[in-house]
Amino acid sequence: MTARRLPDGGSWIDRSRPLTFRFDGEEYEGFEGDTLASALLANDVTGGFRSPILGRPRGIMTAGPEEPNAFVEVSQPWFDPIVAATMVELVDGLVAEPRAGVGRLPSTRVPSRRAEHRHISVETLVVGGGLSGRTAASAAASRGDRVVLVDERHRMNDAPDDVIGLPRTTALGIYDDGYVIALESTPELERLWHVRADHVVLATGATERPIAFAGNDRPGVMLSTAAAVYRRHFGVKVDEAPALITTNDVGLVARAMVMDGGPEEGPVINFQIDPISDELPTDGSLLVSGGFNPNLTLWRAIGGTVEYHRRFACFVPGKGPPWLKVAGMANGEHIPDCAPVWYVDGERTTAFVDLQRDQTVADIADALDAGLTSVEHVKRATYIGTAIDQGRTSGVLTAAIVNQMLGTGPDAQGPTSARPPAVPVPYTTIAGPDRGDLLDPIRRTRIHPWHEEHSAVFEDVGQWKRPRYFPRTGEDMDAAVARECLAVRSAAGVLDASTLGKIEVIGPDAAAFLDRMYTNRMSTLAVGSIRYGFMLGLDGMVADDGVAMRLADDRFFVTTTTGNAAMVLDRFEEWLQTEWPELHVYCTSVTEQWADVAIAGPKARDVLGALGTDLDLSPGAFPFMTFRDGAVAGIAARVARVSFTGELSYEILVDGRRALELWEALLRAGNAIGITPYGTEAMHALRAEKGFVIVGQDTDGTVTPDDLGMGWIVRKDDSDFIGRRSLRRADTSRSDRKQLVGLLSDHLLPEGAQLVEEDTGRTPMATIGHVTSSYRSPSLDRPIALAMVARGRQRHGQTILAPLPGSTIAADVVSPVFYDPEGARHDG
Amino acid sequence: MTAEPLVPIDLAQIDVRVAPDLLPFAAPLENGVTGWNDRDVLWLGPDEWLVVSEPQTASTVARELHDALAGHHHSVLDVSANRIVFDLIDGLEVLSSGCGLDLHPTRWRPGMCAQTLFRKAQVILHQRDERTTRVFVRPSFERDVIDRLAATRVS
Repeated sequence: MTARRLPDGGSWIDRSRPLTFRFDGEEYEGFEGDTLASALLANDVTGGFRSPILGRPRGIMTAGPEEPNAFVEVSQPWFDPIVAATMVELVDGLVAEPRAGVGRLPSTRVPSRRAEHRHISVETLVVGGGLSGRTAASAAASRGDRVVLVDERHRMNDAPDDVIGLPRTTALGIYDDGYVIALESTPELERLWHVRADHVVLATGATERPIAFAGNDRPGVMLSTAAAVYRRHFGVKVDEAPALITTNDVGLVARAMVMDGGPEEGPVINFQIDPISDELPTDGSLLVSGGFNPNLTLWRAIGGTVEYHRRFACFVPGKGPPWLKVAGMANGEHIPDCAPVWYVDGERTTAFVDLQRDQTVADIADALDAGLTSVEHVKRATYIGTAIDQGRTSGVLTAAIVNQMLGTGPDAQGPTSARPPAVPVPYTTIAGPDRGDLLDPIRRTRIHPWHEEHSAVFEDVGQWKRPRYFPRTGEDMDAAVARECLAVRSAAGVLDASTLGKIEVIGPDAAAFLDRMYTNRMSTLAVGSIRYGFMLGLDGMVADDGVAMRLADDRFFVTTTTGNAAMVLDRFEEWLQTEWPELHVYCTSVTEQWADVAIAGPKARDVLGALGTDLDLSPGAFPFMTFRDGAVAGIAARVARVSFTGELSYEILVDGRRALELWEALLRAGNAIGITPYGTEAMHALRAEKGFVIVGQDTDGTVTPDDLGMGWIVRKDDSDFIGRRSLRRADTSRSDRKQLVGLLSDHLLPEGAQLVEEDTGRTPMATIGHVTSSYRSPSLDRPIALAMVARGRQRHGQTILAPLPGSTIAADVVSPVFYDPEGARHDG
Repeated sequence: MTAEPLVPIDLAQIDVRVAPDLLPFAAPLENGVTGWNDRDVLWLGPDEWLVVSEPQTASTVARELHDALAGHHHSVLDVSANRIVFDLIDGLEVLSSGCGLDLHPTRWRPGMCAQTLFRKAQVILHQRDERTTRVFVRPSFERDVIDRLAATRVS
């Protein structure tokens, strides 16, 4: 086989624009409009590829996305780890090398194309820019539809008027109600199109099918229409006088086109005339045409059925969803009559069916000998159809061979279906512009600029950035956290608590509704008072916690944990809308309407007084677990006496737009007493000293209120609440459940450490629990931990062990309340 | 999209929830915006609207609504701080990089609004005139949305 570029011809190339490229270390020339495959053939590079498993030499077999052999890595001017050479548009300076079926990700940075996403809504999407596709697009446009026409090739005839034509665009997947995701891949960019279409027309054409015969994988074997495409569109002649093996007339026409009507030389095997032949040429150029398969990957992916067509020896569309139509060759139109020849008997171990998986007729026969009868099982036994080319050339062939070998008739089983994406998609494309800081939204509070200016070290809490601690010059985290904790215990600290979820629950049935959502009773709460509550899942496990403030008989203000704000509102709405539509309740998220600043410490009242407020702060007038609306530093505020530190504490809620003003006023007012901003790490340590749990850290979805020693929060009357029934399951009230305990040890326990009664020195050891929270307690000046331990409350006073790599830490089991167990400090 | 920096617009925003026939104004159609005494009323759902008016008028508007709805189950909340507002000029194509709605000018017309997503941030869009899209975004997402719009604009 000696391929070459002819002096003229080639409708897709521009001979006035020569390009230079490198392939496998050698420099070559091509033209604008070439694919890498056509340019390689023009340079008589007909092989150089290897099969992935057996390492057999392979050549370019096709001219399109069905290519099973000629895979390359592109390294310049962009990077693509693996792509068919038939689908790479040639650009000047392109560098590529062969890749045997498996891509490789380099560890260094690689040149990447711009990646973006685009959404578009149209009345009609047409997939495939051939004659049928353009006709369908034109018809849709003329009735006033907005129309997008996508075609995976880099050259497409001009789209009809008023049609958005997207060449180089592959429909990757098709989903319910006309949602199609398509990848536009140009030398400059990769754009993921999200197309929402009322109607989709699949004009995806038909792909020529190979025939399985001994040695059918050698370089020089090419699909007949591929050779015609190279001749017609690229001016490349694959051979002067190629041999032909065909089941249909199109193979004959294609060979004539390649030979430019020249002398009829070379052997031709036409199964339409000569049903059995053993004169297969074993070298030189050999064109193959086993028939044509309508391209129905998308059709089948959305549930379209197929039927076997005896005359065409292929599967054509049956029934599909009403918004989806198939046109042209994909619909079985213009498919040539075809002799149903799938494989030629002979040496089966080199008669390849799936060239990319190196699977042969012998492998299919083995699978059937092993007792498999379903094409689905044969696929999984052989991996046929599971490579990058998605079985475009092997799917129908495999089904037909299975049907033939089992003697079940050609229509017994069709090909397996391929999953999206239709071609490999780089993760960089899926990410689009969502990289670096844009990978996921970073949520910032209104006070964030102050935190940044004051060198806060941030931690991620859900999507939020929260200050973890505020190190002073020379301080490490431990030192900063200790300073912040001690300031709260001895004077006062301020915390930006604005991230807490906040929901207003309004309506005559608000109290009754909250009674059903929380384990404790909210309907008995007095106006102006606050109650801490647990919300359970249907399984009786703790799902979220927060406080409810009663603003009026028919109005509550509830808080959620930072990470669960959206979940809790969704849950409220779900129950209201689907289970209890009779309840008159409106829930509205006000998370960001209100900023929330907590001031905690024995001097908190003094600071608030110094700041200036019209509220009577005396403990009698403003007791623990109540709230008051008033002015603080001249700002309308809702002040709540709750405490997550055990100290006298006020949470000051103000209009978010005035948060920074309040924060700075607090710092000024507290300057004299050494007020200290503290972060989440100090908050966590302070609450752990008090044995206050954090939902999601000390709980993991398997923990009941009683497991936490908080059975008191679950009401015992007959009224219902979410999770109540599950709390009565035998397993939920087992006596050997893990329970929250405190641990005292000489060394800091790692969070997550498993706990045992006896260190046998051999793994596995029987675990009795694990550490959920662990801190170096500044107030106690020693390590403390919270843990979930089986029968934990009966173990107070026992010593248990945390076996760790290299050492074992002994820990005394104690009450989880390490600090101020009498609760004397919250009044200041 | 024009390249001017996006400047937040100070506006009063009142969230109203009530049965639609009780509203003291003609309820906007689905995804529509109507005027009510020089205020915009944005449809947010079958029983939820956002009244947008001049800054510092939140308590006046809220009181008017409370008075009009007295005796009926309703919720009226000042949410002026709950979202930041800015106007995008010629921004529909940029928004289409991260929003699945049909924003084609023949379908998305002045006087329409929608609660939707721009990438992963919840936004309310209100098409004010042919060129101006008013965007309401939670303050915590403001920088993310603006950075994302800018990243799309330069590419």
